Amino acid sequence: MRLYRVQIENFKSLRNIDIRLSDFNVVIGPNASGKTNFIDAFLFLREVYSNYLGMPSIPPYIKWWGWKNVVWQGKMNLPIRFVLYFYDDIIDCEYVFETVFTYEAEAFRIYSESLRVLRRDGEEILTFFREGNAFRLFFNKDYISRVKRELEKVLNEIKGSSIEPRLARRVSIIKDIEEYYQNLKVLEDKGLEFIARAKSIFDFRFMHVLSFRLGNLVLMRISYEHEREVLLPSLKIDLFVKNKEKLEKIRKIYDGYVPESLPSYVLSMIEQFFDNITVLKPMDIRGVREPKLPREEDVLSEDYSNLVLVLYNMYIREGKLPERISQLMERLFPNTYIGFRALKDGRITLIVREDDVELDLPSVSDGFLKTLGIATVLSNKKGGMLIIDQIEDSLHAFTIETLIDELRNMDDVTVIITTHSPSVIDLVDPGELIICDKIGHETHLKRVENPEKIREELRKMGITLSERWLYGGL
Amino acid sequence: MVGCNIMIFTEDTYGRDFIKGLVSRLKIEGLIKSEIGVNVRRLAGICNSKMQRQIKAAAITHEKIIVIADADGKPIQEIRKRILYHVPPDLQKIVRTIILRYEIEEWICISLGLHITKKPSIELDEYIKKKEKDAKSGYKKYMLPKFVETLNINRLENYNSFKEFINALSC
Repeated sequence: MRLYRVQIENFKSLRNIDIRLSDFNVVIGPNASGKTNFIDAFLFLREVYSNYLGMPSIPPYIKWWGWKNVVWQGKMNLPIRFVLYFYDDIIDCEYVFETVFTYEAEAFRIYSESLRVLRRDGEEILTFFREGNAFRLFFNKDYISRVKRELEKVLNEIKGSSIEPRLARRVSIIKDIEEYYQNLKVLEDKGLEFIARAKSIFDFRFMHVLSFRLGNLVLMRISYEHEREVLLPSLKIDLFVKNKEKLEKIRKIYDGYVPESLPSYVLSMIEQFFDNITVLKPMDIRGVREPKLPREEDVLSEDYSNLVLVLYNMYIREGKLPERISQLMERLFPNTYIGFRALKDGRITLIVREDDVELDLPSVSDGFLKTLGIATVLSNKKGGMLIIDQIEDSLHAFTIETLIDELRNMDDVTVIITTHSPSVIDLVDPGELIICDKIGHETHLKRVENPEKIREELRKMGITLSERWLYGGL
Repeated sequence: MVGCNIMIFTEDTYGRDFIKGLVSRLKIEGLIKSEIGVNVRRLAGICNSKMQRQIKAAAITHEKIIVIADADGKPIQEIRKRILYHVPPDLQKIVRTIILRYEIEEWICISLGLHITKKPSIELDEYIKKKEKDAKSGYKKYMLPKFVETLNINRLENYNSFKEFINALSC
């Protein structure tokens, strides 16, 4: 699944932006034009939704010291709105997820959320909407008729079955299915509505009390408000799958768990996306070099400061560093070996051996450590997004070239890098650029309108892309 | 033509900020049309092959290109020729060169009514030191953009390079 378009309103300097994303995106623009704010927008979403367990335990704006620092022009009463557009090639559908955040009575709230699942021809299959405590769920007519047909089929099979199972159980199943069938009519007339004490659309997964498979159906019992229940029959996700190989891959990545009903599957995919937003900002080199007491750390922090611990945990688990890291480091820094050493006080530090010389962390170059950090992320990145702010910091031109090629070829990851460096711009295609500018108090983002025309101009005139941008504009 | 775009190249970033401020002031005072879009960038260096590519790139989106360069006391025509040598023949008709006898500080000196007998930045330095007796230091290059506000445009209007500059700022 890939994020291919994003709309943001009222987040920091992003008053109102609407930008399409490709697999690899390079954001360029002058200082203070809003490039980092664009990155922070995804960080904010991650703070809200990553490892979502009912509500973020720490307000998501804390990183920026307060709500007034994340809302446009510090206007506290403005809502922040995100609309994310995804394409899922497993079921060949698009998802449009919209979320609105507010700050009322000195509290952060996910005010409303909606999720639309559309076929590629634009036909809406499923709409999930939540505002406050009210949930609404709609399916399109075609989907409902398919569910109906499946329910009837199952019902007839059970009724007409000559096998004599325990009668009471069979009667109970028939009664259940008839109940689901009744509920389907309600769903068809006005959609399913229920009030639940929930703060996000993702709470839906905590409301399932029971779901079981029957033929091509998943029959779900959803509990809400003091033991009240709604019954929701859904088609099995397998009926929508266009790319079975990919589904198997996803199952492997997420330890075999892929929800079987369409609504749960889509919610789970989006949740996984938020869990997989990785942001790397400029490196805290002192933090990286500081020896650390061993503890479980799997995710590289934005400032790379836990790099040694993340690598150490990888090393302990597999008895060596992942091959992707070793290979990349070997290509860029030949004849170097990475190891670990425990200090007397129990803290762990990294050592780098260059031929016969052993270097302690204070003597290892910033560029080596930054490359090692990026290689660490590349080695265990599974879907979602990878954002690297100011990629060129501390890196030699040849290292940047290699890393850009690596980033361009990532599977199922939307990559965004920001840069000020003409040498980075000259390595990419005009179609990969996102141009960031600030007009008044608003950040504007745009793509190059006609990349082919620009490519042609560069060829004809013998100028570089960075020269075209800096002196001719784009 | 109304609403055209002009790119100005200066030799350093102080000059760039000075010219930026000056263009804004000239627009406010009605000496150039406010509809004209003006961008100012630093020149990579005269006789640097990048200069040629800068001009080519600018020509894609600008109707006119102005190159402001210092002659540092050398013959003005020689400097002009040196610049134009790097301008592709098909772009020469849209490129204007403004050559300063010494450097951009001469506009400030003229505007202050100073008689230029040495390098204008030195002249300016001595003037500031003399005028503000308590001043710890005289003129420093970073101060250049600040002089836009106090520039006496009337005095400058008859000064050749400034006159050429104003004339060039039209499409």
